[in-house]
Amino acid sequence: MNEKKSVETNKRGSVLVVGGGVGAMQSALDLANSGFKVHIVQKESSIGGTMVMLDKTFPTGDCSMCMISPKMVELGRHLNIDIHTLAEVESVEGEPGNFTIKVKQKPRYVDPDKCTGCGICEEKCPKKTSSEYEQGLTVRKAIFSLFPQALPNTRAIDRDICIYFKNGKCKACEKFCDANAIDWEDTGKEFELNVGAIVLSPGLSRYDAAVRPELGFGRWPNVVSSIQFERILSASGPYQGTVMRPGDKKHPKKVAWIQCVGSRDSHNANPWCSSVCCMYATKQAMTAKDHDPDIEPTIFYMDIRAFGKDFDKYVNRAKEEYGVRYQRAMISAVREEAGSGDLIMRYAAPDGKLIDEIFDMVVLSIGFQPHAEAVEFAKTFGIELDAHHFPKTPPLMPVQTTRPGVYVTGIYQGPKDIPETVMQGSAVAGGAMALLSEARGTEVVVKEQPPEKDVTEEEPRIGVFVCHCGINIASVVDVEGVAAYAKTLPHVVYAGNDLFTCSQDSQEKMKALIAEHRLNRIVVSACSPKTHEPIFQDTMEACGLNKYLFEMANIRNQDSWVHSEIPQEATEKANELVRMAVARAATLHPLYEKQIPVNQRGLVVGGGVAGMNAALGLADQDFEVVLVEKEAELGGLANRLTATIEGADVRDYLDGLIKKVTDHPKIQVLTNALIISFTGSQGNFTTEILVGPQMVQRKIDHGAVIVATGANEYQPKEYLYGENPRVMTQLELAERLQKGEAADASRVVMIQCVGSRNEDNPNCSRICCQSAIKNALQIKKTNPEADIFILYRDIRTYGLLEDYYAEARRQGILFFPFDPEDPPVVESLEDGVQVSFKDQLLDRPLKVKADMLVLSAGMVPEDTEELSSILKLARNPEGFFMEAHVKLRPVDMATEGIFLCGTAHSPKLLSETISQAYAAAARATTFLSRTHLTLSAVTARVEGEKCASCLVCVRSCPYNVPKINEEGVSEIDAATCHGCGICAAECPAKAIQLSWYEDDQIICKVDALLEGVL
Amino acid sequence: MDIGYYPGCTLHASSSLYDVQSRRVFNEVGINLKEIEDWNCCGATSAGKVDDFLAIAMPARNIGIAEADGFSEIVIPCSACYSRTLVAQKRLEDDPLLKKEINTELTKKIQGTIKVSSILEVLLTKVASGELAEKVSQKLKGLKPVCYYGCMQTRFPYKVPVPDDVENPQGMETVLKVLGAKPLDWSYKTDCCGASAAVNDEEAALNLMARIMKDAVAREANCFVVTCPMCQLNMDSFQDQFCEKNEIKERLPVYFITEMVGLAMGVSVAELQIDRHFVESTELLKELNLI
Amino acid sequence: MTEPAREFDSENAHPMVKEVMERSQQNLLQCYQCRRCAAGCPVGEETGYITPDRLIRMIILGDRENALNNQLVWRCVSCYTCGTRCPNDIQTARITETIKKIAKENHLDPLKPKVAHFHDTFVNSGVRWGRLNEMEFMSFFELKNTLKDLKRLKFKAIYDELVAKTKLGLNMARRKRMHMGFQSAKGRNEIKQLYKKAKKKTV
Repeated sequence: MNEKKSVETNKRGSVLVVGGGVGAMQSALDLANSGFKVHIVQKESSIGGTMVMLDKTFPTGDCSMCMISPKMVELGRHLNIDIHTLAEVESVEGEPGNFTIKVKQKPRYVDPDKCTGCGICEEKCPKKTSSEYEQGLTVRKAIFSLFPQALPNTRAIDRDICIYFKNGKCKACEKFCDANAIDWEDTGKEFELNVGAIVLSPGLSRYDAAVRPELGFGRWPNVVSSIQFERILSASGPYQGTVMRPGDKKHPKKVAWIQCVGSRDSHNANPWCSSVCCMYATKQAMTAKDHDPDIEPTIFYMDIRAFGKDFDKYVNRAKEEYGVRYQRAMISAVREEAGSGDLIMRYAAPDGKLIDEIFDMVVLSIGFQPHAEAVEFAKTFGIELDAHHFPKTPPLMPVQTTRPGVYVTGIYQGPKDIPETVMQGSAVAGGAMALLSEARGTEVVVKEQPPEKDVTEEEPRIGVFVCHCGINIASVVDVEGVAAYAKTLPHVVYAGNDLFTCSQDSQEKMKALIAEHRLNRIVVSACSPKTHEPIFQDTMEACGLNKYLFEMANIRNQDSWVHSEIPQEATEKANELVRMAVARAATLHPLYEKQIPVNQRGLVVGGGVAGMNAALGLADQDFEVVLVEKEAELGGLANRLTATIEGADVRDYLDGLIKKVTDHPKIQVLTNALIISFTGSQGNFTTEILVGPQMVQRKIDHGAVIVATGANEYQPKEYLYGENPRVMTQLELAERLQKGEAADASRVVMIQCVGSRNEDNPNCSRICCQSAIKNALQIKKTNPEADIFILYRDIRTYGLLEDYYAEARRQGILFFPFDPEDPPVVESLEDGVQVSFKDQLLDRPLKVKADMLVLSAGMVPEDTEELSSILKLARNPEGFFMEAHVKLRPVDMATEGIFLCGTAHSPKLLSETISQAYAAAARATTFLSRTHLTLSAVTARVEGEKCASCLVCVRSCPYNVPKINEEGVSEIDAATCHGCGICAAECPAKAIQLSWYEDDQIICKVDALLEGVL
Repeated sequence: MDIGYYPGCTLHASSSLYDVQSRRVFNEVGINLKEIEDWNCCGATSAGKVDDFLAIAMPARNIGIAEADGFSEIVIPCSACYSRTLVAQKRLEDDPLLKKEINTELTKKIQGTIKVSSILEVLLTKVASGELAEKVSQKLKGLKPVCYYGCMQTRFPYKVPVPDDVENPQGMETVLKVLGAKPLDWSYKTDCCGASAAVNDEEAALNLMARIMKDAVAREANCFVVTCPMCQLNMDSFQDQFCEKNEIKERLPVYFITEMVGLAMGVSVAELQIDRHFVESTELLKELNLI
Repeated sequence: MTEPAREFDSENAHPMVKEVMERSQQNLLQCYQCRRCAAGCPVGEETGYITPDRLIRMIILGDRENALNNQLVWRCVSCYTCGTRCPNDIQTARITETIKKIAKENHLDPLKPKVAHFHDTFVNSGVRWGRLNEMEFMSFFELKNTLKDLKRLKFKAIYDELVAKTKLGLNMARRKRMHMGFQSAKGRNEIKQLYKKAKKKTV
């Protein structure tokens, strides 16, 4: 773990994170895992944010809650993260490195120290109101938790509707609370925090579709908002995952989505693009069809903004495999058909005809907008907002605000999806870490443990603790009976039961019992190990017991909750589960988590904007960095860029960046360098490099790697490129514009998606729409009368870039969509290039004689075939590196200790690259900030003598861990093993055992279960 | 109290019943509608298609008159006149040069400060104060109207302060609820009846009117309630025609809001001139025992 | 695509866009072809599917011929639905109103002469007496229509119109909706002065 330091500095080693969504969580975890104390101040009664309301996430279709609750649990248990819910910041004073924050916490009326989260109060409360979490589709109680997996799980009382607060009656919650946790006298509290940096991640509010009564929201029962539809899809939602329409609970067949509700709209709505709605509508359409194959989804849209990594592939899947119909036409009004509750919508078909179509249900894809209190919020923190009330951030450093020491992240900074939010969460952590690096470790809490007892010589002495869990288990299962039964099992020397085994007092009791009965194995029969195992393991360690001498029987989720109608059978099953657990406990032996030293040096591969920023991100925190660049110069693709669309000068920025990097005492720059070999594992890598024209061989030892190999502009083969000098790419155009050439161009045609979104490269290159508009606006500056035609498939000016699209149109730049099956045709003329295309709106052909034809050529990744095999990193079919998890680990590679950033990951803007670079540095810091890494003890081991070198384990491991060693047998490096157990299961010779899940440890459970049967 | 009153050309002609009803009904709740002196035609929707300057100048003159006559508020029952006057006022506010230009030809100069109100706005103040409810002597039970607002009451060609929701106005519903009727929500509240197209582009207009009728019938409404005399005339005088053309058997009377208010206050059919409708409008009232 | 491709011609396009934008006060360049106006236009089906967004495109491309005289320009009833819901705040009904005027100034034969006659007669009557007299106005309106139809030898049309309007008239008389009186405003001179001023104004 991190060591606590005492250091002479004015800077605080703690950070305030305002907000509780996935962005805030990522920031908090990265900071806390790098030696900083984190205070989370969250307005709601639980953390979670928007992500916990979603059913599935795109583009993987993963269950949202399943992905985020482990992060929530990790956060909740983290020693160095304090979560303050129902809290808001009142004032901020001080300077970067040392801020004084006044926090006001609203009363919860439930004591979190006493509450065990059993939920009986909520069950018994008689007062109902509309549920905000379920978006009005069902009700919640006056005492409630926001959602079942809320953290903290402590209930809260809604004072405004509580019967006791309104007229002094009821108090049902208090009556039924076994833990005596209701506190009517709670007045909340005010307190001060002293932190070094502030991260603002309060998220955004959603557009209220009721502002557009013509769309029928709040008027026609079968028109729902997209967030309501998420709840409808969710298995834990009001309809338990059955897709029904609210009006009459019928199963809808034809479901329509209307995009851009509240976004891209100057009329009682917001002019920006909300970035995620095209993708989430696609996801909802596919998920709905998964739930009910009869559903026929139609999405009414203007542009499909599938600009992220693999998003176009996802949309193509929706079209081809799921039959989702995409109709490029917006809807003026949604009319209800009298009597049936069905909805009639009229739209313009591509041939111009107006079609009336009836749908069973309509989903409005609502967008994001700043919270109502956005202005006061910004004032409290002393930051400036832009015209749209988003925080003002410099174009090339999107997480900084106008006040030093205060950072912004997540959708609060601008609409974005979950991977970008997670990336930015890490990026701000990096920013804060750089600011406070000298104070690292000064405020962390480190666990003190007594020395471990040696129990290897002892017979197993098992203690069984059966839990009532309030009435969650006890109302179905005869808990005392189970405890009595447990006493009869072999090796059990103590069996007892508790009301709440996880509660503080039960832990104390457990410690006393361990000492009294000299217990050396613990079995807890209660709830899920996923959430509570670490609590009991902590208690064991506090008594000097190895934490792997623990087993849990889940008699709640797997028993009382699912067999509540048959208590007798449920009790029998509980007995069986306990028997199995006891049998296994007897086989457990202590396991030791290895500690490996960390080489606190980082290696950055690639000297472009991404690599340089990542290097600085590490070096500014005082870590040594070696930056390896294969070309002679630093800068990468940015060397060819001129200015960003916001007008920031890229050359200036790049020069400054290169100087910072080359002057930095902690960064060693190796140019003309080629990596030839790579070995080791997290914390201890060794890389061999050939440097310089002389090919001098260097060996670098380092603890982490950041891959930032970048990308290039696609060289077009189509549209007369290379044959006619009037045909050029956007980069070439920008260069010419900067030099003052091409100023007399009076008629320009631009063709989008060249080299992207086709068979060879199915993905979007993301930057081309804004790049075309940027250059078009530049041309208009010098020649306002110029005619510029942009031929596109979808205009993807997402987020706050939408303003530039509007500006482009305002200035008379013309936009014409084309279908990939009917692309523009170009012909060389003597004094120009003739471009012929179809004007889809007027359904007639048009031709333009252009002075210049500019191709928006996409991005292709740098050729990393060799590098990827040396580093053993996976790439997708287009050549971009594959991250560990698309959504929640967007800068991590599957191999621990290796990180990714920049266009090597996927095409992105300069500002997004910089953000991701900081994120990679922050993530790498979670490694490099420790002198030692503790590895999990749950790893696989090969018994060399049994190994036949069949290579089954090598092939089946998803993490490429087993290797054939010098002796010709498989060897598994405990440092990189993830403990999934696949190799152990696959090995035909049974030569591999997974610690803590060894064969006898599993088989004994089966034997115990089938005792007396066979 | 006295309020300035601009009837407009049609309330002195084919929709004179609306004028009679308005005066009578407002009188009951203590408002004296004082017709402003020597008002002129507002130009309706035609002026905008012929000349933009005139389209502002014509209704603007009436603002000058009303202000000079000493009124702080002027109520305009006809939706088109209301729309044109409100737009003119806002245009003059945003363009002082234009105001000056128009004022040079007028004896009663425009200040532009008067409150231009729709008939619903004024009625709603009486709803809010409870005075309307007091005057209700019989509840309009059994009446299931659909409230038809049309275009001019809700949508404007210029950014003006709109007193009701543009897409789902509730003014008539609010008044009708106080009167004891049960207005139904429907999908064609603010759709266009065709307006002047009824006489210059009949095919198109009849189709529009038929669509409106179909939804009202499907909702099982038993009448329309309107505020616009053009919509009233169209939906009323052409109902046989567009219904026959589209095979709609039902006929729904088209009442002015003032007829409803008057009925609830116990004013007679004769006084309200409800017998001047094209579609038989008294049978329903007899059935519901309202007359 | 059987139609020959039109060549984009900025000589026509630029001035047309400028003129329409200035006179209608609508920033039609802002359109991003979302098709919302098309879906909401009540006369969309009657115009041969010339919808507001298509009209805008015609203007932008400088297609004077089609932009100045098409079904939408004349059938648009100024219901303002397009502009009320347009995310770019383009009130196309103002554009059709503007084009009606431009077409007249260019002496183009309106596709729907009755519509043109109606609005011209309405305003003339309103200005002439200061207030509109329905009988007087309708008579002039029908006169204009009849004359036009006579010129085109459309005798059936004249007959049909006569029958329809007589029916309407009788119906109105029966319901006592026919106004037999005569109304005028003394201040009509002020209106006439303003009218003169309007005519003098350069577009």
